[in-house]
Amino acid sequence: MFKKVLIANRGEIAVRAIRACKELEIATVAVYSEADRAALHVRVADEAYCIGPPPSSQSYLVMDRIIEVAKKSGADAIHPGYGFLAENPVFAERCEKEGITFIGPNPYAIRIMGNKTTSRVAVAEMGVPLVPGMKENLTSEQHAIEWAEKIGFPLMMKAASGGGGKGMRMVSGMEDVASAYRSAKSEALHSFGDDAVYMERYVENPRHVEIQVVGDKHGNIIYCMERECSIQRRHQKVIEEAPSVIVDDDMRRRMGEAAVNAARTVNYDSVGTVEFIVSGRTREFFFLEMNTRLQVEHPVTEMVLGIDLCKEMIRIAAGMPLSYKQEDIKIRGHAIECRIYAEDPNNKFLPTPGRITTLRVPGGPWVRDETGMYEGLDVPIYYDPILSKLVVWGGDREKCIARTLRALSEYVVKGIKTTIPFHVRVMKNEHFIKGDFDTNFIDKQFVMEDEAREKPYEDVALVAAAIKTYRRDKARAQRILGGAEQAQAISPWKLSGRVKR
Amino acid sequence: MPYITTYKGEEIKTRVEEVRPNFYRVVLGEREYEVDFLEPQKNLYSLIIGGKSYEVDVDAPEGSDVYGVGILGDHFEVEVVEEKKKKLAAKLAIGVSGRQDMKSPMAGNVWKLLVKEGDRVTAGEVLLILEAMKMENEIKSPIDGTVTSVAAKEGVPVAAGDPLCVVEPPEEG
Repeated sequence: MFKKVLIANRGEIAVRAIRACKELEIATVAVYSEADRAALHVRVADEAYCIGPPPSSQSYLVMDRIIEVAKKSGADAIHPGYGFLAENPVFAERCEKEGITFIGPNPYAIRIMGNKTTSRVAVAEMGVPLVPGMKENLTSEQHAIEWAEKIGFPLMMKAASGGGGKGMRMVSGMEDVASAYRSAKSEALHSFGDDAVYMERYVENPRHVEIQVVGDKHGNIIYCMERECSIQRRHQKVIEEAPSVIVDDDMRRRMGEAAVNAARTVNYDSVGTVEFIVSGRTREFFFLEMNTRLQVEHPVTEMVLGIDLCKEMIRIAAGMPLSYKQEDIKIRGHAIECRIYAEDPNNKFLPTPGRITTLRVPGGPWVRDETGMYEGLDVPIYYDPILSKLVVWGGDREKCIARTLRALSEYVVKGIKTTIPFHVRVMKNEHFIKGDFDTNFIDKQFVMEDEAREKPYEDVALVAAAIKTYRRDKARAQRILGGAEQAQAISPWKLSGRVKR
Repeated sequence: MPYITTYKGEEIKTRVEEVRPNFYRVVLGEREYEVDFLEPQKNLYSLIIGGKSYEVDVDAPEGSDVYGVGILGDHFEVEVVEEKKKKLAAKLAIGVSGRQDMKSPMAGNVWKLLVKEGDRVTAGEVLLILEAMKMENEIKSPIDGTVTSVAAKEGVPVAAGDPLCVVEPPEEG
């Protein structure tokens, strides 16, 4: 096992990795930018070194600095977290060359899976399903009709040089193929100066479901079931859960085996995630991409399986075989993660850096706070707005939602705005409660339902505002009267002393 | 003291009376509430009204009469103004007009400055772009007019409330 691990990251994920190391009795080295001197990961690590100015391009992304600190501090491994250098094959190779273990998969796996085209070609050879479609452009109406038969309906006619929804036509049946071909072609020519079009299957009610995989350096690969990540705001995951309501045992096994096959194409030897797009209507699943890192939402899997993925990742990097066999992996209950961002959900989700003046963290049974913040921390403007992740376990989905709501009601962050109120509203939304959503749900349906929601505590809000105004005016008046009042004020100590006498 | 509370466009006559320390009687139009009040943490109220306990987050920007109030995930924008002041304000013109002192709505970095002193701008035109936490945020002119001074500098960080620039409406006549 390693003696000392450098964590090449910041915020909550750096704290997560440090916690795992401490439990494994490995010494930890934090690195930080000039803006992060006060960050939590710096305070909880055994050693800490500044690696440059605030912009990540001059600090957390500078390989030379990080390698230099690793050598100076005598670290024998580097945990990259997520983002920054986590999926950079050059960095993984560089570590190898310097004799430092990169806690992650082999560089070849990072390189192949990091590219959409190479990853799709690789996994398709192993029989992993891709969204059915063409790798060439259409040449004629007849050509379109032949391909439409192969792809199936509904399908999407797309401009090869398109984007932003232009030059796209949904086609629901054979009778519309020819006319869609002609109009998409002319629209594409008009919009992009190129009339090349192609077709692929349109995935109805698309849901994002991903499979956690874990492989070791001895050729063992297992799947650790799925996570449902369809609750997204502008294509960013905001709430994740495990298991997914649309996945049953048979589908879970088929998705799991497909994910293991995908991982096998690159001899995957760490924790990783295979992302699928799933049709909410037909429940067909298609490979999207593979993430070759510890995922932000890994805790929901840990909660339902009872295993520590971050520690397992470190053990594997040290050359140890998997601690689990496939048949050991069993789901128990349900888990939900809410990502708490420094964004104001009541003001267009604008970022809100600043000082955390008050913090009350939720507690109680089965509640886990994955955090990078503390009371008094100045949240810097330079990085991702993620502050913490609230992870909650429950015996089933319904209980888990109720418990998440309970935990959110305890969570107080003052000084800056956070997305906590947004999560409360999602937990109360009837479509979310029913599990009836796809990746467009938050941006399209939820915003309207949220606008129209009942607000039961209006009068309490008005009362609070009135009292606030009254107290503010009174304090102002007292400040103006100033000295005279102060001279008359009697210390409570003095007062009690007099009474006793 | 008599106040006017404005919520969702509706004006409600409001009275607050301090019955004893940390105990208030609040009258909202026809409704009356007796409120056991505590502020255990700054701008975080614990209210007990008729035996029911509420935790209320009250956000009050300096110098503003509009409060952001949060209760269990719900958000309320409430304006409370002294009755006298409200009557006075009603007599003055309402709406966005006059000299606009553009202040930064948040801490961030001035990523792009799109105007300079003397530029004519129209309402809705982007004056500059602020960058914070990997997000770009456009700051737009609320009126037609002329940029008369620019305090923001490209690449220089600003705090919430810092002056960015001034837009003045064209002189009338």
